[in-house]
Amino acid sequence: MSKTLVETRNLKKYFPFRKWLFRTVGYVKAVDGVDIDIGVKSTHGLIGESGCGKTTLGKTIIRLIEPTDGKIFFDGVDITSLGKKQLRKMRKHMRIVFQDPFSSLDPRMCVRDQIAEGIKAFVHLSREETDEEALKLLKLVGLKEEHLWRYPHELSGGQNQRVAIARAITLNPKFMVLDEPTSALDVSVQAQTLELLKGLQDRFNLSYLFISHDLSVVGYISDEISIMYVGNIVERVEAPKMWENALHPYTQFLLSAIPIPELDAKKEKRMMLKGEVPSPVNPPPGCRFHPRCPHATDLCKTKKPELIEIEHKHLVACHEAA
Amino acid sequence: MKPLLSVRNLVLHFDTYYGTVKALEGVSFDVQKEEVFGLVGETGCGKTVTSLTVIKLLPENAMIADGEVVFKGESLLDKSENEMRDIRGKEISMIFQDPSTSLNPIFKIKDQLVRVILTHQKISKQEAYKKGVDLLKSVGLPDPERLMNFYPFELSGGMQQRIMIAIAVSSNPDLLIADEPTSNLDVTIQAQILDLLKKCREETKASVLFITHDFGIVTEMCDRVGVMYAGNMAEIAPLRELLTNPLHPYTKALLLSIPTPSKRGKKLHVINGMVPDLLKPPTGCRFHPRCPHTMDICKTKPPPVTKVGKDHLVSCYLMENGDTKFE
Repeated sequence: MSKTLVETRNLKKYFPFRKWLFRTVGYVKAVDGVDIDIGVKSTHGLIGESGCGKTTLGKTIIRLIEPTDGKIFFDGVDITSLGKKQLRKMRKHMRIVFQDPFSSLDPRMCVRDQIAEGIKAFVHLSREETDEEALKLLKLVGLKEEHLWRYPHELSGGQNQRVAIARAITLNPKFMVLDEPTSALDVSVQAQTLELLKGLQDRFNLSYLFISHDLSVVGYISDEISIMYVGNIVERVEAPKMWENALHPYTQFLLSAIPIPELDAKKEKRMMLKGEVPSPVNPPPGCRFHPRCPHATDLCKTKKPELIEIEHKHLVACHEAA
Repeated sequence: MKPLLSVRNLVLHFDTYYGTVKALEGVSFDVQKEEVFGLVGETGCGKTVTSLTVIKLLPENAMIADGEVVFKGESLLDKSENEMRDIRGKEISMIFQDPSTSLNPIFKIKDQLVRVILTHQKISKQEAYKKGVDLLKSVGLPDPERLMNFYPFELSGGMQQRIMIAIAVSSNPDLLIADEPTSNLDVTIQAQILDLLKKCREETKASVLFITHDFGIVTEMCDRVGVMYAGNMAEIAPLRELLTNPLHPYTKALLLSIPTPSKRGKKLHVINGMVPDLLKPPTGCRFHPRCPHTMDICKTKPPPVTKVGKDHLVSCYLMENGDTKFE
């Protein structure tokens, strides 16, 4: 985890919000100044509630969505300003797996074509070579030759997600955004998929950005975890430390909110978070968490806290914790 | 003590275009008074269908081939639709998975809430309205008078689920069926709703049939748990017993396959194969094609339910001789 592969600096994505015929009346600040570093061959977990901007961040990092402001570096190259052609070349190295395999795969293409499409976009291979390559990838994700000619509706959710993963690892990418890859799957299938992802990471030295709202899954698979709240990263911590040493009040709330299937995990009484997630159109001034935070002071209402390194590899954006 | 609800040997088939789906194959369990009984299992194992049978809201193509459902000493399966209407909402209420589809989008909250109260209680409209406001207050909704005039779409998922709970507990039911009440909600909202359910249960002294796929929630909410697999009840045990001493190979494997912080760095247990197609379920024990301990008898005859210890029921041949030490 020494070298950094993906780096963002003050990344912002605002979606304009129009009323009255094309006049912009406001912005949905989906991602608002995010710094993230993802090391080579490491898994960076991104946690947050729905609508906090996790998916937008994931898509912006690989420029599926154009950022409003800020910089993205991939393998030392600034990809924020790359033109279409150069970006296309970079795309080989960065792929994405979406949440729902049924909607991310083309229902009218068989598995072989889904995978071949990814190959064809970057290299010229003959038909036989493409078939061979597709079969190789399919075997890599634990499917068999018979699945090659099946359509997505003939496969289960777990198998479809495997196809989506196979499609993403064509041409050996270096970095993969995994956008809730297991949230549509059952526990036993989730375990299979997580094991597959870990295996592929070891084999191809992949880096993952693992987006999820499930703390147990992220805590299990990640090396480092960022916690996101309404467009901001509020805490970044190494995964094993998160459970013992969460510093931001929001992280503490999240941790106490999830039910853990272990008897001894029922320690103190659960902390209750009042209210609901604020709208990213008009986020609260100062610290965005302050209306729900029990430790909020006057400073929190006016000044936005910076993400500061408190201990080695442990960053928190909170006036009180710092 | 007589159980409040007792389901015995329930066999349920669905008639479909492709053939008969054998959704439930002899499911038996009891829900005691003032107890939270959890039904856990993966998608398609028959959790929801079981609960819909109890409240008799099954789709038309469902056929109850065998078994009985006894609630407070009376068989529910023999009841007519009219009699069921009196029971539903009054003695047995249900909270569904997705609040945005279980509330009627074209009626205001007050219409939906007051109607349920008026259906089951002989009080005036004004009293029912007042009761509705009190209920909304008791489920922790701010400004209930104003909320009464809202339409469901104006509320967030968490607030909608609170209203569903208010409707469900409005007539102090004896049995509350909660079908994955939090699976569409965020963790922080989920925590709020689970707390509210606990509070409501303590106040109304209702029994709860809690359906979920999340072992974390089970640990949090339930007193006793039944684990279902492909239309069978694999194992029933008190919560602590189930988590510390699971006996059915499926329960064991399932518990090992859940990622938790303490399993970091270790390999997750993977159950080989897939959930069977219930159009052509495996013969014998339905888990046998995926089970690491399969014997010849597993392939031919469904295993009987064996009682281990005080109240631990397992349906597996490995347990038949009372041999608890297998790995």
